[in-house]
Amino acid sequence: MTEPISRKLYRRVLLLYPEPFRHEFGNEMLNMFVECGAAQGSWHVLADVLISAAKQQIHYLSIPAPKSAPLYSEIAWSPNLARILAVAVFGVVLIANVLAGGGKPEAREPWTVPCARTRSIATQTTMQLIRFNSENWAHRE
Amino acid sequence: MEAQSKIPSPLSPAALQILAALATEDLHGYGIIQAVSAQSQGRIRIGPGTLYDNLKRLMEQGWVRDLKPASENDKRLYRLTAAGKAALSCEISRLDDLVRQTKRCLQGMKPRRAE
Repeated sequence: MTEPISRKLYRRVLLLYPEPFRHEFGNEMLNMFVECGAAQGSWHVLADVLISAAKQQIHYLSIPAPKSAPLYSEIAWSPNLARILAVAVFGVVLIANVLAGGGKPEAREPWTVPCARTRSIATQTTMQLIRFNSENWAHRE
Repeated sequence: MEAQSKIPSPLSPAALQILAALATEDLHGYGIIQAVSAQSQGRIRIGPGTLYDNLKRLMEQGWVRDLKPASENDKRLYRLTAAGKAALSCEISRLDDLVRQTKRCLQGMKPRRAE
């Protein structure tokens, strides 16, 4: 026995629903088609399902994506990110060094003293990050 | 899933009809469609798309829950929860107030004179 065209279409329309919805109600909706089609008319049922599928797609698209893990856990789990962070901090230190007239202690003005202190803290942090990164890699290997 | 205390009002006509259908007994999907049609004397006919859209939302709100079928051949039944009953009675009393108030207004209204 061949399947009526409306049922084939119905089957196709059900594929337009988002996967979680189809998983939850897909079989029930498919089994209901014959009974509903006989009572309400196949094309009426098809139109109803088509509108509902569009609504569900819009609903699923409007759900925001899950939030990513906080930064500290990324650093703990991803050595690559730690490396990127280390390079970024190193870059900041380098720029601070250039702005403060790097390598020429005699050219320093009094206002550059706090800058130099920040620079030394940043250098220490960078070194710690690089050490952490290399230890992490050694541990993994 | 426990019910949410917040009741969005007014309910959509389809949601109201589904909750009303489930107020009497546990029903499967097509049973709900038949019950809705019967309680509205055939005036309201909801399709499978509308039914499952609403059932999904009502289940998320904790107003309806599904009963897993005992065997593969059995159909899944849907049941109104205590929170669903509360939401339904809240909506019914809101509609009741509206009907009473509107009736009073209509009775008090004087017919306009033709100019």
